[in-house]
Amino acid sequence: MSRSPDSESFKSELLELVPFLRAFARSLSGRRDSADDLAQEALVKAWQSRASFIPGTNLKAWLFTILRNHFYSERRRAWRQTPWDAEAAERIPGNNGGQAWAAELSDVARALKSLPIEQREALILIGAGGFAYQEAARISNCAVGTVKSRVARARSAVLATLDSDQSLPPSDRPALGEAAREIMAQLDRFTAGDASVSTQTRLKGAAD
Amino acid sequence: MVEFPESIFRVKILSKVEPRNREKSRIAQARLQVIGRELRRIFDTVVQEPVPDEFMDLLTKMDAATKNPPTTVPN
Repeated sequence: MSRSPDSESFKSELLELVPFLRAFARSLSGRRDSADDLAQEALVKAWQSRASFIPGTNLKAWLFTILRNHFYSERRRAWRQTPWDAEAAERIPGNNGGQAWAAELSDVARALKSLPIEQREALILIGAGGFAYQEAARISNCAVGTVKSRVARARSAVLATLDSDQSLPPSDRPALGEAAREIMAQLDRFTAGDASVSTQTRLKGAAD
Repeated sequence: MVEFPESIFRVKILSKVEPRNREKSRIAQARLQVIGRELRRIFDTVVQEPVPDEFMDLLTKMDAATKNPPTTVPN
């Protein structure tokens, strides 16, 4: 449990959350280069406003709120400054383009990057951040229903992107991760009515 | 359709879904589970990365500044 914001334990709890802050920054912005700057700036803001943190409440949610607010305000600032410059548009946090956020983008990572920002945020908070809908709604400053609909739309959009990837000729398809490839292949066979698969269809967990 | 709350990957009671749509539902659910796992893997990969020193330095500096406020305003 968090103690008062001036104590050592608050500082060490913040430090413990830094990996999650970095992951949130990177997946929200979709960029490797600026994500750590974003995370550090959020950390500074968190420290500066530590008096507003209510001990006993969810520190991770509080920290994530600070990061996403900072992310969106940076985004608005960048748009206001240079709306017509294509190069500047590349630097705007959260836009597509710029460095890939991981050394190797999986198909899902690529699909995530192409989502509208609010949908990406919702999907990350719920699907990876470990927050309940109520907490995610507070972080995103919207209604629970809004989070749910963004998550639903994000899911559909990711599926649609993966489907459109699969409709490309094999040479043009982005490389799939091994596990995803195996599962997709099983599902394809299942759909095609392969009798040998349908009687014992299961998702591959262990190696054969 | 009965929904279990608080799950992005809601499990449908398939007996309540028409037979010809069960297959589609099963496939869609399986695909969403794959996506969910991959999403968490992507996120966790960054969480597992060693934290750059800058973060620790930052917290240490800010904490020290609180205890020993500088006489001049820092940039």
